[in-house]
Amino acid sequence: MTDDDEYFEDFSDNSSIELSGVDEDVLGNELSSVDISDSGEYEFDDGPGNTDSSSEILYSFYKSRTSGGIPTHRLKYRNIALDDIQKELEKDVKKVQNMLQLDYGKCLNLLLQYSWNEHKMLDMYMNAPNHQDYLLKNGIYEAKFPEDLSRLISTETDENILCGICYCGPTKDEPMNFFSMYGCKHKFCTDCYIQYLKNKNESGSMAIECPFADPKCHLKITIEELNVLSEYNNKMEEKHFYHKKQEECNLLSEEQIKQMYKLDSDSEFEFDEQLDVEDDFNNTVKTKEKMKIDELVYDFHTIIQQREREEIDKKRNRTIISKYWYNIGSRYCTINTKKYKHCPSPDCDNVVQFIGFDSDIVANIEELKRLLMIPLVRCKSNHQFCFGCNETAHAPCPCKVVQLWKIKCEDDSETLNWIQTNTKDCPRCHSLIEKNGGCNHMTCKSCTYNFCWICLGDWTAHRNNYRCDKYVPNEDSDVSKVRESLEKYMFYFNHFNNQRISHDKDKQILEIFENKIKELQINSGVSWIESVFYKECVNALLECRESLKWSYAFLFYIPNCRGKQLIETAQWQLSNKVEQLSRLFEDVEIGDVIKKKPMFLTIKSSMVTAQNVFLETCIDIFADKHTLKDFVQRWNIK
Amino acid sequence: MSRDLRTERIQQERKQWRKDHPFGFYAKPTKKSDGSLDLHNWTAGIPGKQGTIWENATYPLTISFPEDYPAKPPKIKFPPAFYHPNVYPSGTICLSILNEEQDWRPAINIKSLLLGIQELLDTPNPNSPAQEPAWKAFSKSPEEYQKKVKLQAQQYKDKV
Repeated sequence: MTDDDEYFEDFSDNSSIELSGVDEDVLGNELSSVDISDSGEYEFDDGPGNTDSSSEILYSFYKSRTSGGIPTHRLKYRNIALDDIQKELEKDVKKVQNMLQLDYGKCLNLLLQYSWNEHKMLDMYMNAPNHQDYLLKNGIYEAKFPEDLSRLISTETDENILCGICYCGPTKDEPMNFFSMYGCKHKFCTDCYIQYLKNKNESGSMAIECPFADPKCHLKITIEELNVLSEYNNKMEEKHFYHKKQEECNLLSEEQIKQMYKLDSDSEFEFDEQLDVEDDFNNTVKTKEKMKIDELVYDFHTIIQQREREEIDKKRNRTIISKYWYNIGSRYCTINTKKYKHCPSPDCDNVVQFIGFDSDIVANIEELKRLLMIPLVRCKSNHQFCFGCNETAHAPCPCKVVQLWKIKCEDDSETLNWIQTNTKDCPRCHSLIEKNGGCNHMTCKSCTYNFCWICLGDWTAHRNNYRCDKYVPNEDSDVSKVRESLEKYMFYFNHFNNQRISHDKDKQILEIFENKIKELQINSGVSWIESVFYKECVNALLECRESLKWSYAFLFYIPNCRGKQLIETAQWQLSNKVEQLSRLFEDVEIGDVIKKKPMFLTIKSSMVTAQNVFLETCIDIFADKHTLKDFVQRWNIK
Repeated sequence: MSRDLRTERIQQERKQWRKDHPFGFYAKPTKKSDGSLDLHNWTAGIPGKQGTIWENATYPLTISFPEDYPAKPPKIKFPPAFYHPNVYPSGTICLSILNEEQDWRPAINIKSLLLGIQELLDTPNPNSPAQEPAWKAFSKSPEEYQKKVKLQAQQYKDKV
């Protein structure tokens, strides 16, 4: 955080555009501080923020070799937020800008046009007979932007002007603000222009064209122009927000609360401070009624919660400019899917950046997959997923086996197998009949035909009620094989499913638990720091459940051997720990949580150890090259 | 945004249209069952250009404005089974300016849309066929195509 702060301070010193103070958004700040006019001097690489701590290199497994000495071919990666890609891309744009001597946003639009294929773009540009025509064809007006682009927004009072989108016009008493791009001068009212851009943003468009239609204007809006409208929009929304808040909100204002708790007016609210403040408050204002205090504390909480929510909302909605960059970033990720992977967790904007492998043997992800290793990564928010297939973590089951398993589970063939082994057709009406006990005399429910289960002949021919003389049962080896494989599948599938259900149930219990913890924080003054340990326990528990779940899919495909026994032993130990922790969460009295903290942590750490041992054992099974080869051949893994 | 941009804009367009519209065209809101005006659903007519096989007829259209108009384009349809290479059997017109993903802009108004469709009548786009009969005839047997179009013109003939 300190790094970031410095980064911005550093920039804002140089910036020629005064920050409005409205835009707290990182992206907005950064862009508004880009001095467009003297492009040559501005260097993105110099920002100290670029070497921030988030670039720490991480590994997909905790060890480079298992205890059995098997290399794990770890994947090296880095955690970034989608917004960080912006910094990378800005460097590219800067480079192009230095070559072409065009405005920043125009270079960005060119790169977007060519899907960041810089060479192709430069090639086309250099070979174009007329640069101006070439640029115009790409929706770019060559002439350099003036220093102050804010003049693109003008306040009009002329009654002859009409916005071509809402068909509204200004009057002398009611002026309206209009915006037009620098290159085309097609004016539309700011509201409509902003709405147009928001719609386009929402659908993920980039390099948005001017809305003018008659005849169609192909000029594309640049990031500089977008910034003008984005800032204008932020100001308007802020105004609107405070207006509304003043009107509607009867809660205490922030200022009032700060005074009440004798807070320095500059200091920020945080959960931890809140407790000191509360104590302070209780000590100094003892004369006040207890009821009154509770109410105030309640208000205080409401305000903090509301503020947190607002911040999240603000981040989600984003400003026009940040949403635009967001679109560019996610498009870039999808183009460069080998290097970047979006975290698949819902609402997570984090990205994992591929760096390389901790191994000389493996050159790419496909090769790693073929060795049945699982490139598990964690995003910035600690969501674990597989870099190979972009699914949630599925260790110890290799990606290829996950595919097989999923196909098998979706496939009806197993159901058909069951039907084949367990049912026969009625010889007359061909209804499917399952014999669930009793003698061989069958009566079809659909057609009331009486027949013998063994020989499927008419029952009247059978004198002895209990034995069919016509047919000597010959154990068909095919049928028994089918039955055997079916039973095996059912066994592992049931276990797999049970773990899935337990996972969901644990999740529910933990949600209830979380609410109780929150109550505890409010009612008995347990600090957030003190109680936060349970969160890591929760995450570890859920991750181990996932491991157990996938282990059953894995075991289904493993042939009977000594390695399998070892896996089963390790699995049993892991599942023991998992159940222990799960039970602890279920049973613990909420008042005892803090007292039992050491117990939670002990079980958790032994569970994690068991998980690591278990995963290593799963890797070790392929220590023998023949086993790996056999396995790959048997299941036809390519 | 609390104001109903769609209705406001349609009202303004209606005003403008009544003030000035190209000759031979008509466009007006339909009436609801209770007799009141339905601003969000219009009917319109496009005259075939003189000197083309489409002449002396006015082709009827329905226009419906979606809730997010003008961010999204209106839906404009000919009657079902209308004979034209770029009109789907349902009557939906295949035209880039009517497609949100393609060339639709919020600044396109009814007038330019209808003029665009009039243009399309005699200059079909062979690259985006929308129905088989008209497209086949248009590209393979021009005589049959002209006959069919003229027959259709008879159906929508102007009452003089």
